[in-house]
Amino acid sequence: MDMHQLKLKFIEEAETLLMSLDNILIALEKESSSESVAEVFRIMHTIKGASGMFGYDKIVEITHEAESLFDLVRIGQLNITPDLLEITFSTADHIRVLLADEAFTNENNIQRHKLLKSAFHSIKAAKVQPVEIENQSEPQKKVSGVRTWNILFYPGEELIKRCVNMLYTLQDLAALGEFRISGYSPNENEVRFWNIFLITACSCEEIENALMFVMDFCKITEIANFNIFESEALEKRNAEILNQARFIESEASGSTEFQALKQAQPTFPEFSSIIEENRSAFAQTQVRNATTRINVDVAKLDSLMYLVSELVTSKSELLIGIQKHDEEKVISASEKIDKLAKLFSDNALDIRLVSLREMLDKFRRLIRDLAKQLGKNIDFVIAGEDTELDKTIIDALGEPIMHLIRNNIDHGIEPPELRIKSGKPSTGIVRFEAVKTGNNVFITISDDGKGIDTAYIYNKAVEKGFINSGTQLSQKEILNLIFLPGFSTAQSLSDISGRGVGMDIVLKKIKEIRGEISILSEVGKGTSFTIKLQQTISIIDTLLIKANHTTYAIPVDDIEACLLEAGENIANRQSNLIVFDNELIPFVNLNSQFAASDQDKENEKLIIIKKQNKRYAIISDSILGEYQAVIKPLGQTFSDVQFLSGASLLGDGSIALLIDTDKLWFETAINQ
Amino acid sequence: MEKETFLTFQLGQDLFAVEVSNVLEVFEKQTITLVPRAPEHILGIVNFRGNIVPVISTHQKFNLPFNDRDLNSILIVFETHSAGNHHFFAATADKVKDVIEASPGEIIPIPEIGVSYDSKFIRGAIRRNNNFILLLETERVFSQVETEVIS
Repeated sequence: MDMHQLKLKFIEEAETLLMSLDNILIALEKESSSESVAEVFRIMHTIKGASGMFGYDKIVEITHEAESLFDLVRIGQLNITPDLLEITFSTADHIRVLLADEAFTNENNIQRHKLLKSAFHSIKAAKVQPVEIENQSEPQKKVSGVRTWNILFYPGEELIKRCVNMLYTLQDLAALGEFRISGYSPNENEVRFWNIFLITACSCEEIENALMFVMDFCKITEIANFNIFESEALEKRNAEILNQARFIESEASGSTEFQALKQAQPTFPEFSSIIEENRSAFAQTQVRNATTRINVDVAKLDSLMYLVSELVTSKSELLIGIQKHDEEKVISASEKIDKLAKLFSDNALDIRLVSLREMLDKFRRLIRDLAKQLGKNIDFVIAGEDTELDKTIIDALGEPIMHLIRNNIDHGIEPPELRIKSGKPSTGIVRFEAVKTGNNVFITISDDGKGIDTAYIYNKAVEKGFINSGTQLSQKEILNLIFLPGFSTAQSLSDISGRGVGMDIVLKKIKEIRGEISILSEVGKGTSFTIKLQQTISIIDTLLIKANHTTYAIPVDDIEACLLEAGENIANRQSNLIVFDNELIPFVNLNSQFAASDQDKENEKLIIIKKQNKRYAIISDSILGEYQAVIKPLGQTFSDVQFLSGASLLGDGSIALLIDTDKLWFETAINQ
Repeated sequence: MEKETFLTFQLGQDLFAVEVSNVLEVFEKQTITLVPRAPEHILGIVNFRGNIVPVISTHQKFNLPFNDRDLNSILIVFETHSAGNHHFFAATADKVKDVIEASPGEIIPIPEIGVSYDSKFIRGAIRRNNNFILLLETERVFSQVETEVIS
């Protein structure tokens, strides 16, 4: 049986749990609620149980500490403090690291583990009210008639096939009472199993219910009619009381000693450097991590199943038609299959669509850390997180969006004092909004910060030699200057958004996924970036044209008009200009893309391209018609041919080259 | 020692051989789609089982006179592996000749001088019917980075 597979599943689940933990903690920072506390407790508990199963002893240790603290919070013996939350955040990060360092050999991890443990202890020692715990702890005694059950669990191959989620099973067990798990035997030759001790007052039937889905793999036996851990637990409690006694003593004997005791405990700033280092690594992986699996809505799969059944029926209809030489039947069946093919491609694209939610969930934590680091108060507001985009787009979108948000927080939002001075609430708002219209998705990232000073940008552009001083530019044109390569507006190079990745990279990344970005800003009011994206990029509506025996595909969205008679429009062949709509616009002759080609042909056709208010024309030999192109990459060999962004196979097996209209113009302009 | 199987083909006046295990298909006639501004030794692309595959002009690579017939020449589709990825590519040939077997002992090293091709691209030669068949180091000859002309 493949324990490895189960383990991977566990790691994946644990990471999901940690992400929701992050978000709950962020909520707790704003407002304490008993539900959230219970949730933190539950997550720690679940991770603890499952880690034990897979032999992550250190995770068990640390989650146990966290769990017990949150248990104290739950029963009202401990208050939620910023320190506690900070340590819990670090614990989440620590667990993430430990998941990758199972052997626990990394020196940093060992160090951090120690620090976290003692931090937990110091919170426990400092905060637990030395009120007589023993008297209060009677509710625990109340659980009379507890028994200890032993469950031997043999995970078989079947288990994986059944796709049982062990975490849920463990949660169900946890609901029954206290349980402990010891791990499997790593020895290849031995039978592997999990040994679970459960202390509960529930009946055997109830345990069986909890294990409903995995009963076939379990053997349940009652081993004692009392809690076999009780004696151990008592010892622990004694030790705790002893500790408290000492603590009270030292407090009584003067605050100096108390200080010394506090000194002995590691202070938080001391380990914060490790946390920071750990955290930025976390930030990197969180943004870049492209998931290799996606969650698919069952409705989409149902419609796939429906299509498959329709296809099977149509196929047999077609076969019968062919056998009986029934032309009518053959035609109707093939028409049906043709329609189905379209539906299949729609369905496949639909399955590839992923909501923005998961990406945003990752952001929340990063934003919180960032705001904290910069000493700013940020409210991250999200709207339209259920908007769906093709998975490849979402994967490519993480980095540029995070960069924009960083810019908003770092350069946009003012420090709290300054905000209050200018009459704004001390907490800044960073807003993420996604809207779908037609086949386009608009994502807006805005802040209510200080806005961009266009005069400053203008001077900087002159200083850097991007424009001549005195050039007349509109406000919008000035703002667009920040997308130029090498234009960094940060007055001081902060380590947040000034890490060498400028807005030009953002622009490049957005363009790679066929998106557009625009910027609006008002001094004192804020800045907003709007990204326009296509919902899917694997299939594009194109217009097929032919030039010099090569077929090209141009995205229909980029085309403004087609002119079948180019001759009279061509104003000047030398300077490549044509007249269109009473305007002189430049043109690119696709025929001249090859060294050896015949120029000046009859019957040239013109395709007018309009993109971001810029127009130019493409001259071709003939226009073949519209085509829904499935785009395939051209591969490494053609990485220098930038104006072609892919290729598509046509019905007859030949190939059309997909033109990137931006780059075609850019490259031609440079060559001239 | 086990015998190896090779596919032999003619290019200009010379006979070449490649390991059969690298060859996926031989196209007798396939329309090549020209790609403007492509690297010099790349003729264009073809559709191979739904993949877009670059066509390498073997003629140009071996500095043989290029002619228009190149576009209608025979294509041998190869697969190479580099850095964990596998690539397909097609290479032009004038004529596909034969499939031959040769034991490692039959492969004779070629001298450093007196041969018009760079020895790093030739694994050796096999002698058949008073002809020398040059055994190509496919991975090297057609690797993506190696764009220099070979003779």
